Amino acid sequence: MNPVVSESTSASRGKLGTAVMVIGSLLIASSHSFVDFNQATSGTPARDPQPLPRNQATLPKDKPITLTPILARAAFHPSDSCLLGYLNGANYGMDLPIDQGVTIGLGGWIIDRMNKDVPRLAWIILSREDGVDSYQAPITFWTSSPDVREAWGGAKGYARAGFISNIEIDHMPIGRYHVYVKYKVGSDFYTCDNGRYLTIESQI
Amino acid sequence: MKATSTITANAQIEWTLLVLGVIYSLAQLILSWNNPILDQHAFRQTQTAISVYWMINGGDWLAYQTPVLGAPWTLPLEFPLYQWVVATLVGTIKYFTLDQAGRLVSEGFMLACIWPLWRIASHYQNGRSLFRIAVILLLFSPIYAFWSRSFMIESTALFFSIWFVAALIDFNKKATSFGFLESSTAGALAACIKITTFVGFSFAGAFFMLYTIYTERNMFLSVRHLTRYALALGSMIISLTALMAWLHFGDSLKSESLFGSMFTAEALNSWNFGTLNQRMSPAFWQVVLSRAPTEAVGTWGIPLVCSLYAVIKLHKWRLISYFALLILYLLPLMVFTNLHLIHHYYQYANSIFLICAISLVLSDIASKHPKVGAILLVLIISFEVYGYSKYFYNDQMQPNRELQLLLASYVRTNVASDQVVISFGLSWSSEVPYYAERRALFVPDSAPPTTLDELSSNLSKYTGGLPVGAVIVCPNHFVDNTSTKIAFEELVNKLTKDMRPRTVGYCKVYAGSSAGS
Repeated sequence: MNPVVSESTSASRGKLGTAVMVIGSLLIASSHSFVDFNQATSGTPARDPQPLPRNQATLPKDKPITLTPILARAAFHPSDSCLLGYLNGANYGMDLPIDQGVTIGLGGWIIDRMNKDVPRLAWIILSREDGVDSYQAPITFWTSSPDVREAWGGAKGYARAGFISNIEIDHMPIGRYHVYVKYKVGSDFYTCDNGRYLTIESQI
Repeated sequence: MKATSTITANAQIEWTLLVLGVIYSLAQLILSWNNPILDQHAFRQTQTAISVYWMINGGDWLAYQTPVLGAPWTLPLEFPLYQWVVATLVGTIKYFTLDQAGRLVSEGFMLACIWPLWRIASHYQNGRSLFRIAVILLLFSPIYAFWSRSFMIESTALFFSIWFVAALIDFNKKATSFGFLESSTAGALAACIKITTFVGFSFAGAFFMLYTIYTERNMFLSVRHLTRYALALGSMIISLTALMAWLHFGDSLKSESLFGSMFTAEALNSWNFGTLNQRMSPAFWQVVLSRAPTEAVGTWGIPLVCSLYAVIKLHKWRLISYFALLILYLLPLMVFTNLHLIHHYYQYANSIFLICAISLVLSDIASKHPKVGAILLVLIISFEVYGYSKYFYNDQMQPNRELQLLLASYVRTNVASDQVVISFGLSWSSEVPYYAERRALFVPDSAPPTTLDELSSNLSKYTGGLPVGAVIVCPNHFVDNTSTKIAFEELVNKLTKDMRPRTVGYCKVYAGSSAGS
């Protein structure tokens, strides 16, 4: 103990501390009489409408992908570094039915494991099971993904691997579609397929 | 003469670093000044903020509302002193948004901690240098720099906890009625605001009293001394009594709501304290020895080296103080194990003891080798800044929780302010209700079918008679088993009858005419 702090100093501190508490309490208690709380603003960011992650109204129609086995190997590399996890309020298992005309809301994540980064050019591909029609929608709305980053070793590049994609399917023919992700890293294209399907049904 | 001038130079360096520390801490606040409170543990930050929002919009200030789990909307967990200060500030100075006012008050309480720390240090030899070093390391500490700028009660609880110890030490020096009142009130407030923070400081108070009794062992049986010990013990008992009263009050309110009974003190026992297995698990000791020290001072290597130095070089009482501080760092982790494992911000409560232990070693080195002490201090600060950039900076600066903001924005635009939002798949997080500025009934995935049925049968009771403006359905686990799936689908069908679905993010939002009116 340092004798510099005398008994009278300690006693004064006790008084000062009590006074601070009393003044603080009075200020808070009396604030109801001098503050008009209902005029207080919250000014939260949701006050301004957030831009919805919407693709253009009409989805560009892809040419059906017809590749010879050799070309396919050269141009596309299969990858398991993605997840198509959520679709319209449900966990995206294997095959989900959806009414024609309903907007698809798809959520998931993609990472480029070679470069420990997120590919900035990526598309959702909807390929009709009969192979006649194939559609693609670019992913433009990336989101934070701390869980993905943690699960894949904590690389900083994975911080925004999440995505949300809203796709209009008004004009798409009914039928069963294979849903997967295509992305580009350097000059190479990769496909990531979780075995997801979507059946567009006619709206009754 | 030369040694004296070197020590003076060291004091100047320390004061300079302390001022830089204040600027550094404020810089983190300024950098995230306009960001939403959605960086880390957005769940908890918005839960605190939503209570303030409803306080300033006509809600009760003691039985305060946290309207995320349905009517009667109250879910008081902590004594809302921080919330009152934020509400008063945002009500008085209209320039601040609620997010900003919350951040500012939290930062203010953090900086206010310097005052009781100074009071404590002033009682000890070399206390001034120890005080400066401890405050510098505190201000540059990654965990304190980050969480002090968040919308959390952590710094408020820390401030009153340190104040309690400072008041107790001064009371022990000179027992006065004001000193007793001060220590009892500070302790009671700290305990009621956040017992998980206060617990380490109640042990610190107990350690201090044991030390006092030991040093006064030849005369401690005198009436004067015994009275002082009894009063010191009394201030701790008052703190605990106040806590019990607050918990009783809070539990009685929680029990009135459908899900509130999940959050009574009794129901939260295992969630708070964890299990013996957890205390023995490698994951727990990884937190104690690596994660928490790294977030406190940038690397776990610093406490390791300091402990080696302490064992070899510190003399008796300093060595005992050093290990007492390490024990105080460890005790909250051992008591509230599960909370500390899951929430890394909980170490805001006890990392200060680790920092004080390191400061004790540094001040010892500085008193013997001032230049070495100064160099080591700058080195540790460098590790702290590095730790911040590695573990916190990105989260501080980048947007987060985009889905929740999309949903909040949609609800705020499309749901009337007197309507209730019901949600599935978003747990009971306040993120959407807070930014949507709407009362909510967010059904946690853990709700059993009986609860879903009860909700379906007595909907009006749980919406407080207010109409339902929107139903949010996000990916959830109700459909994973047959019994909850049936109850869930029946409830959603009933709620969304006559509403139109819309895709927002990857969730479905039903809005339109009211189902609950």
